[in-house]
Amino acid sequence: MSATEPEQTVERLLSRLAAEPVHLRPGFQTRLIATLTQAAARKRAWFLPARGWAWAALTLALLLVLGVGWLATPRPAATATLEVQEGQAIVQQTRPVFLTITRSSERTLTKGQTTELAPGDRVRTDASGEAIIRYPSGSTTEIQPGTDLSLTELRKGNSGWITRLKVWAGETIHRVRRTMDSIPIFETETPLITAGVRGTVFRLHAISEDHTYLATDEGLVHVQMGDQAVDVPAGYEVDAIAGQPLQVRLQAAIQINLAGKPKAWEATLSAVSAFTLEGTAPPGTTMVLLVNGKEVARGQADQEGRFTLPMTFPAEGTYSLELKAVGPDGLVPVAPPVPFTYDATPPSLEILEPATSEVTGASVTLRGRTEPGALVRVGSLQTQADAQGLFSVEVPLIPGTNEITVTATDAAGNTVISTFYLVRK
Amino acid sequence: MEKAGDKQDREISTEQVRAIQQGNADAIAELVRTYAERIYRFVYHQVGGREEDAEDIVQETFLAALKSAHRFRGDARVSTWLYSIAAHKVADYHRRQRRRKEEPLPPLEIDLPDADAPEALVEQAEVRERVWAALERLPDHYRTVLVLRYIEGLPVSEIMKITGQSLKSVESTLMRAKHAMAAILGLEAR
Repeated sequence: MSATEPEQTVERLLSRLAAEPVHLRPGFQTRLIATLTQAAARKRAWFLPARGWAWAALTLALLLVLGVGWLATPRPAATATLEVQEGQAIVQQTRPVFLTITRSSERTLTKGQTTELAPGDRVRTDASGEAIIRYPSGSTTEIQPGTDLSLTELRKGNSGWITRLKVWAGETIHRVRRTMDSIPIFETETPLITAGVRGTVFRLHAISEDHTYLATDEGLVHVQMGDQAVDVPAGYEVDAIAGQPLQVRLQAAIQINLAGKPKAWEATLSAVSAFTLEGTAPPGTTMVLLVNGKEVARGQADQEGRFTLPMTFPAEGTYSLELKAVGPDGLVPVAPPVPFTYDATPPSLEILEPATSEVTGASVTLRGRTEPGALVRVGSLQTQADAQGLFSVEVPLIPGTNEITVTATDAAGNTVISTFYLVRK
Repeated sequence: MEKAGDKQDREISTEQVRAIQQGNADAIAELVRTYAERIYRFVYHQVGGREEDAEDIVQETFLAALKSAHRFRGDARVSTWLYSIAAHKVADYHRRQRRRKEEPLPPLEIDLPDADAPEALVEQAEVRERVWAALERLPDHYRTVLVLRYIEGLPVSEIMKITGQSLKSVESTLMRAKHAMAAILGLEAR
């Protein structure tokens, strides 16, 4: 045999094997068709595609991921309720969708409509809009027209509810509910200050980025501005102004009554020696009037909070008026010092021209000198003396004798009158 | 009766495979009628002529085809696809059975007086059993190419598609497979 004989023999053996008839056993083909048809029917019954199980496993895994993701999506621990009471309010809300994905929306609510507020939400009332936020703790925030604020935090802490607001602008009134078993944290922040509250009612007005006004009606508010901090008790207020010291003062409205003419608490020039300081303050508050730093009058606000303090100056001069109230730790300022000038001396009046009593022409220029700034009247004509006290008025004349009356009144209200005659030829 | 040669050439269309994928009973029946006997023969000689085992493997092959019908893109013949599945199923079968004997078979003690007329040999049941036994002892890829080439009579180009091998690789595999089979049968020792 040649070297290829064994392989050729293998080929021949296999080819001969191929020549042998091989047939399916009877019935096998029918059984196979039935088996396959049933298998196909079972596959359809599962409503699964050809890669059914792979798809099912993938879907299950996807659902699992979605489920875990949904469970892991952070949700607000608590929400407050916003109710619009007047006008309109625009509410910007951000809500978690999935894991770190959030959805933001902005909508306008009108009177009577409510929505849930969560930390991060922002509320803006329009020019006539008023709204109220009711917190789960029972505390409320009343929002005045034209106010813009954000709820920055709302959650239940170990010692009570923690609520933090940011008032960007506008006025708000906060009523913080305090319970026996909890010490709530209620902080309100403006661009300038942070007001931390422990059971109180207070009003906040973010006037501008550099000026916030806060008034406490009940309880105590701790105000922080930069590195300055003050406590504002009930009945007191503070004007926080950037760059100026925080000074707590009593909530009071005052005016100076000068012989029946009321005027604001400001620099005053008076021709009368007596006046009455009138105003309102928390009922029962003892008000103290100081002149040049010394107490000159003291009085108590009545049940309605009204008070009056009379004062009479013994002599002309400029005095410093200051109003204070008796507080728990001594006198506290109510109104800043203002100058009050008592001037009872009438101004001088000297007629310089005409130099003679007889004149020609239909009018004459009247020149004179009085107190600088004094008001000068000649009949129905009037002018004001200049810085040197000089004045001039063109006075019409009738033929014959004319009675000329010149009146000069200074800033304090003191008056001098001079009458003389001119003959028109 | 249909001739084996006719059946060998017949192929169903890709559209019919799509219908099988949809679970169409007629298409499934057509698939079986067209290919069952071919695949059965391919398997039968590789499992030592055990009919029940061959039927089980054919059923597994068609069930696997039904499951994976969506992957059939139509760029090969359906028979090529089925042969490929069946080859894997046969390999699985042999792994399960672990029937391959490690010791060499005794040499064929049959005289081969006429190399051109081996029919006389294979007609003898004993020789056929020895050839089957030798096939079963071959590595899977040797047995597959031998059966495809010399029993199924497929061209090398078709075997390339079934086995995923290159032309050169198929030819060398065939050569090595024949050497190995000759060695198992003790032909080289003669």
